[in-house]
Amino acid sequence: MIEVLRRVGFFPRACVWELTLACNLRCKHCGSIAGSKRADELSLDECLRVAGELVGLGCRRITLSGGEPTMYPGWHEVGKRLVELGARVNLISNGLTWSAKHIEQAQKAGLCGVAFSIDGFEEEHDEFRAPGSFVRVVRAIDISVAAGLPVAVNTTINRLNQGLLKSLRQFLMDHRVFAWQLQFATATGNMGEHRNLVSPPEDLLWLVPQIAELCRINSPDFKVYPSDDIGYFGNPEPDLRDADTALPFWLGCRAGCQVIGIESGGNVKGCLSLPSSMHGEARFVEGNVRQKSLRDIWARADAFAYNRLFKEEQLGGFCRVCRFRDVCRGGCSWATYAQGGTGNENCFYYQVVKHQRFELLAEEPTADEVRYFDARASGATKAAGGKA
Amino acid sequence: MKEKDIRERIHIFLRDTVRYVVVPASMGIGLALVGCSDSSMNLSPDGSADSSSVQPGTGGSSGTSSSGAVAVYSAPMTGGTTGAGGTTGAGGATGAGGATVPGGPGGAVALYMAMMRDAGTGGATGTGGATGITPLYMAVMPDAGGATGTGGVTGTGGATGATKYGTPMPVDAAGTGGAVAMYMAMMPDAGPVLRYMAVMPPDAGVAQPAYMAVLPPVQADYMAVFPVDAGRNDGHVGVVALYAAPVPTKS
Repeated sequence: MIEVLRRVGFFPRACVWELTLACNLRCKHCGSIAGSKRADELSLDECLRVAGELVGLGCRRITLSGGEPTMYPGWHEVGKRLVELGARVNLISNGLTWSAKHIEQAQKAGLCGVAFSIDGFEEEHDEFRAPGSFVRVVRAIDISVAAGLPVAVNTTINRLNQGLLKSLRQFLMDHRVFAWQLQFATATGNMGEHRNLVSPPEDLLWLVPQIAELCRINSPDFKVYPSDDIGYFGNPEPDLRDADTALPFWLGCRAGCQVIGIESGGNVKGCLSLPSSMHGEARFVEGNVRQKSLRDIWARADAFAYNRLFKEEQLGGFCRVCRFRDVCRGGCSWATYAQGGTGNENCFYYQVVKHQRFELLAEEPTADEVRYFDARASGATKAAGGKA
Repeated sequence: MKEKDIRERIHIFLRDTVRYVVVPASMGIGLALVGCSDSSMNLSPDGSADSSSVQPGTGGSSGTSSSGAVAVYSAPMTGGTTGAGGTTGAGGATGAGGATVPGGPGGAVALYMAMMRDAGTGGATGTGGATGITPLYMAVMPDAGGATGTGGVTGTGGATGATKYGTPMPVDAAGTGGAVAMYMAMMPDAGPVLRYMAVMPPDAGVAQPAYMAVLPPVQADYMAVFPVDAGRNDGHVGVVALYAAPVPTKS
């Protein structure tokens, strides 16, 4: 419901800032295609200037990301500046070379925590990243926790690890991780070459309820956070969101409304995950901080039009008939884009209606929603020369 | 949660919780003066409370709407004085010249979307324009007339190259993921650029504006303009999104 966001106001509450695209891993599922740094990455002085602009825009939660952000020499200085300006800052790392020195730098900078990426246990994690990387990231977690630096973990759900979520939860709790963000792998970036490892969409029928169950048993010491590409609607929905809030359900992509992403070359997007030059795509780049101030980019009248000026006509496929289309707006913009912009098969509600698992809904689907799949099935039958 | 419950909650939220709303702004979409408590909007991604509930407003003072900012205007514009002919578009042997765009009404007009005429018709003043068809031209209009509605908007005329180009994949991209020869697009500010799309995903056949592919090892036939860092340092060929090169034919 874009009206809710509009009324609350378009300003960047949260930012994910790619300090560098350089990375010491070449993960199979990397949507950013990280590896080598960009040719034109912002200098430290430029980053410090942008830090002021970002906080000046009202952003109070900033995640330093990459690539591997610790490969940007001044990462802790950028973090320190942001903290001094009043932001809560954390950093996401693959943990491969994480050391006591990094912990000291993070703590001196005032970072509120660090997040590491774990994609399963050793076999699954190393399959996606590199041999030996699991051992290293677990060590990174342990030394950080021991030093008093709060640790969160991000996990990209894929075909290899999707059955391990419950046991992985216990593993992370045992290692005193305090938060766990889950997200689905999409066939984008490097994962476009490994589509067989993407979780099949129909598996959402059990995966999403399981993630909701993990959220339901959250405790003060350990919380699961589904990312914005998980959901939407159906019975699991309230558990996927914070039940204590006024609107405990998915309200559509917030890119460019409450979220902002900055690339290491200075390009600004509504969300760092959205594609850009590495994907041969320019439509989501709203400007560059070398040419304009962040405020000018953010406040431009037609900036982030795909969300701020959303119209239902933008939706394709099932989303066009879905009863929640005005609230949901097609789900995660990145996931929708990755599927060609014509709907979102990664939507739980979509899969439930498609597979007629109506017991997973609080109410029967609408006639239009059911007809959508009936018509498709009929068309497929006719195309195959069979009887409708 | 039923749809009815969701909509009721939204209704109540909009009615009661938001204490201040977007201020009209000449920029169309204004930043907001926000005072919104106890809502999901105030929660950070990790669920912790976000104390930044007040945002400095930057709303402008112009604009006459009493019902908030006019964010977008996407209809034929009327009124105002006739704008001047478009400026000469850059590049391209043919193409539409700048269309004369009528002025707009008073008040803030953020965005004007219009269908361009087919290229190749020549323009009143423009001589250039994008080669080929430019189906859609999106431009930020200069500030529209003032509160009285006077002062038409000068037409922005011929496009300086295509500002946005999106196209479905060639027909033969559909099917089982076979090789696709090329995808050619006029890139903004870059002239003709070939995108190489190696192995298409099996479900191609819908618009696939970009597809990442691992390029084959660098070789003479691929006179590619690689991003500076691609394939550097570690012998890793790298994944490159875009390059200009002769592309192998489909086979």
